[in-house]
Order: sequence, then structure tokens, then C-alpha cells
Amino acid sequence: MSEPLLQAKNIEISFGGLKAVSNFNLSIYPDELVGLIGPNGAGKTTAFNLLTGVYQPTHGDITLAGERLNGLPPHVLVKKGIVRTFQNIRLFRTLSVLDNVKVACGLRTTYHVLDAIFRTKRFWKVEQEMDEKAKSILKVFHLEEYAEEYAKNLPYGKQRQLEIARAIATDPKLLLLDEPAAGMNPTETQELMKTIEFIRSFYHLTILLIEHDMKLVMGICERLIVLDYGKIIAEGLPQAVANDPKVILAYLGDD
Amino acid sequence: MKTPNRSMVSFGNVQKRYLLNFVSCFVLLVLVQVFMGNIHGTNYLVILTINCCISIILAVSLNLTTGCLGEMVLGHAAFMAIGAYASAILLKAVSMPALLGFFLGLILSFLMAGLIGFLVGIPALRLKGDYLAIITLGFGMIIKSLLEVLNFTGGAAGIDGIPRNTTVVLSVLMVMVVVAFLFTFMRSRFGRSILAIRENEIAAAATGVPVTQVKVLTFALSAALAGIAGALYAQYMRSISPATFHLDYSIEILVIVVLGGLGSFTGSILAATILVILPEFLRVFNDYRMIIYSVALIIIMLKKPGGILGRFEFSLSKLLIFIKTQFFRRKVKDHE
Repeated sequence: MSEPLLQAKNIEISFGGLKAVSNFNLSIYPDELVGLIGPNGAGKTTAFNLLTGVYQPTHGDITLAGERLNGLPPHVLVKKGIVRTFQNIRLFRTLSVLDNVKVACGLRTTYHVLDAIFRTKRFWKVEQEMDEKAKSILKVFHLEEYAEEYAKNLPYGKQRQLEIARAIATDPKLLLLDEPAAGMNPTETQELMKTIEFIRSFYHLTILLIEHDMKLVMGICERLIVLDYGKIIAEGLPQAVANDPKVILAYLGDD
Repeated sequence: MKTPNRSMVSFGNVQKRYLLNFVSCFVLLVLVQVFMGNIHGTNYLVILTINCCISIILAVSLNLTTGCLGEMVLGHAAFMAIGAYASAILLKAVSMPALLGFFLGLILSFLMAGLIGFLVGIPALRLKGDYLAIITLGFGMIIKSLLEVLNFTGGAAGIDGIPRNTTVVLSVLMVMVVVAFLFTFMRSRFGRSILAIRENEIAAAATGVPVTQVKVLTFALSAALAGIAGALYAQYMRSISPATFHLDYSIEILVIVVLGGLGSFTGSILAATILVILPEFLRVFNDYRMIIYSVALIIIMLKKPGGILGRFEFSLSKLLIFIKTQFFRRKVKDHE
């Protein structure tokens, strides 16, 4: 197998005396779609926060394509290619849908403040490119008709889509989705699954997702990692994991 | 509800639009020069206009942090004070021709206020909301006290005998420069980053916006622009003292910003003008002046909590297009 894109070695973080995540090892290979599942409070989101620089691990190393990421703040990790969405939607609520995406497009564009102030040719050229890029991404998510709408006015499902669209606009290598289907109805979930499949191949993304919706997880994930009490208890193909006694025990308890 | 159409996509017409704005600014400047340029600096109308200009610059600069970045600041007058004292001290020390002195004083004020804003911003912007408001409030008090005790700032008496370099044309010109700067700045990727932080700090960071950096630089920029207002003030009043830059003044600026609409520069300009002129009209009522003024504020806030203009921005080209379509429609109707 090729080199892993993202690797976490022996990661541990504790809050006070509580070890929220410990002995966490993770290797994600390019173009994979991996699911991270586990009962409530298992430490899934904490793991995400560790991988995206929101928390710094008390132990262990995180590397992206061989480069050590420890100690880097979230916005730097985004530039390196790790981007995430949130369990509770975090949009720029009173900016337009288009501007939500454009903020993210701004990450990899370069013009100087002076270009902006004196409205140089370079400014207009880059702005136009950003505009086109943002609109093409909105098109992929069928959001182009809402472009000038405030983000907060979108229906719930569309807001989730917009959050993914915004993440895509940063040109990531690795996309981390934190419960993308939370609160969606079955039709919306179906649509979301298709979108995830599509953007994955269209933008050549490696995806790690946290999800409770087992239909979605079983439907699209190639590999599953199960977390309980901050530790990985099972790992492997979806079907194998679903039948693992340890996993069943973690979810249902023993009699 | 649609957002105010702020897309910059009609690139084709953009040169025309900018030219239109440029020409109308120039015409306005010429008009100011023709009608007010030769009147003595202590004329009532001139005083009023320059006061308006200073208030506008203070309001739009505070709007950058409070409206666009979303951080409450209660010590804006302190940055104005730094600007005022910086240019006053320079102009007292070195004598030079009026115009050169004006711009050198202005640049020094800009840099000094910006530098202090930067230094204050680094620790202060770690905090949010009320806490930041209290830190900036404390900072404002410290600056005022320092100005009262330091030797080179002239103590409580302040500095007088500053050359009067500020003219009405220069004031209006500076308003135009500052406002044009803020518009172009906010409608760029930098402005979008600032708005993103106001909307959701965590999401902004997760979208690649260097939050702390942007916050500190925006705060410093806002302080630097307040420094410009200070330079105009010092070179107009000819004497400055710490008492002017009291907490009340900071709050007055904040009132203008909130009243005009957080995030609307047009609103700030409008509110600043109204709040400078309104008390003058109310002089007739003399004793009840401040009561009427305060009641007016309360009524506006109750009726329009988002400020007079909300987030609306004025656009000359859009106004012209609007007038044209209205006029055209009437003509068609006449035919029928």
C-alpha cells in the first residue's frame, strides 16, 4: 500500500484527570473514505478536534503526508489541506451563500492589500477567478439559485451542504465531516450520500467522517474505525465491524 | 430576504462606476473650495463642517472594529488623542509650510495610533465581548491620565499654539480618502475575512482565516484611522487638552456607529452628520436640548434596532440607474 496521507500515532489528550482520547492510532490512505463511529461520548469529535488543531495532543504525533503537524493552529492546517465541517452547523449566517464560499476561496489567492485598495488589474482578475470558482462549487451542490441569499435563510439540509461546499473551496486533500447527516430526513441523507460520493471523485478527496446514521456509514464507507471511551475497539471492513462482538457490546451493552 | 447585492461581478461597468465616483468626489471638493474655501476658519458653517468630518472619520473607523469585526470598543477617543498629540508635538517642534505640515502630522498620527492600537490589540483581543469593552475602556482612561501627568504632553493644560493647517477642503478630502479606503478594503478578500470572524470565529479559523492576526491588524487599522481624526482635530482647534478625550467622547462615537447601523459606513456617515448638526438646531430649546437629543436616540433605537440604515450602503451608480429607470417608466406611461 502507498504512504498514508494522514497518520496519528499514539495520540492522547486529557482534560484534567479524564483521558478523552488515548492510544489513538490512525492511518488514512489517499482516496480512502473512512468512517469513525462510536457511541455518544466516545471521543469522536475530540479526535476530530485533535486532527484539525483545535486541541493539541498531550502525547503522540500527527503527520500529513509525512509532515508533522503538532502545534499548528487550525487555519494553518487548512492551508496544509485538512478541512472540516461541524456537528452543529457553523456558517457565516448573515453573509450571502456566495460570500460564505468566497471566504474559503480567499485562502489560496494572492493579492496585496494595495491591489485591493487601488483596484488593480490583478485584483479584478483574482476576484473574477474566485467568483467563478465559488459559483462552480455552488453549482455542484445545487446551491447556485441561493447565491445571494443569507446563509441563515437556507433550509437545514442546504445549510449542511453549504458547509461542505465551503470546506471544498479551500482545496483540501483531506475532508473531515462531523455528522454530516445529523438532523436530515432519509431523502436528504440519500442526496447527501450521492453528493459525498460525487465530490470525492470529482475533487480527489480523502474523506474521514463521523456518523450515527448506519445506513449512510454502511453505504459509502470503505473502512470503519470504532471508538469507545476514547480508545479504538475495532477497525476494518464495515460488515466485519458491524458483526464484531466488541462493537455490539459497546453499542448495546451486555445482558 | 435577499442580501444587499454586493457582488462585484459586473466587471464590465466597473471602470465607469469608479470614474463616476471619482468625478463626483472631485466636483464636491471643488464646490466646497468655491463656497467655503475662502471663508475664515472660525466661521460657524466651517466649524460645523469640520466637526462633521472629524466625527465621520471617527465613526467609520470604529465601525470597522465594532460593526465589521464585531468587537465592542469603548476607548476609541484614546486613539484619536494619540493622533492629536502626535501631530501637535511634531508641529510644535518643527515649523514647516502648512500643507506639508498637515500631511506629515497626519501620517505621524496614523502611524502612532496604529502602533499603539497594535500593541493594545495583542493582549486585548484574546478576550471577547464585554471583556474587550472593559479592557479598551481601561485603556482609554490610562491614556487620558498619562496625557495629564506626562511633561511632553503639557499636563492637564495640554498643548496650545498648534498651527492651524486643517482647512475645510482638506477635511472633506480626508473623509473621502478614508471612506474610499474602507469601502475598497472591505470589499476584498481581507474584508470578507473580517466579516467571517464577526459571523463565526471558529468557522472562520476552520476556513483558513488567521483569526488572531486579522483581529489585531483590523483593530490597529481602526486605531490608525482614528489617529487621522485626531490630527485633523489638533490642527484645527490649535489647542488640545486631555479633557476632550474623555470616556464620554468614546461613547458618543459608539452611539453614532450603533445608530447609523453596525457594518454600514453610509449609516455612520449619516448618523455622524445628524448627531453633529441636530444639537445645533436644538439650541432653540436650550434647556431641553440634551433631553430631546437623548429621546431621539431612544426612539430610533426602539423603531430601528439595526440602526438607521442597517447594513445598507449607498451607491451613486445604483441611484442613477434607479432614477433613470423611474424616469424611463414615466415616459413610457406618458406615451400610453
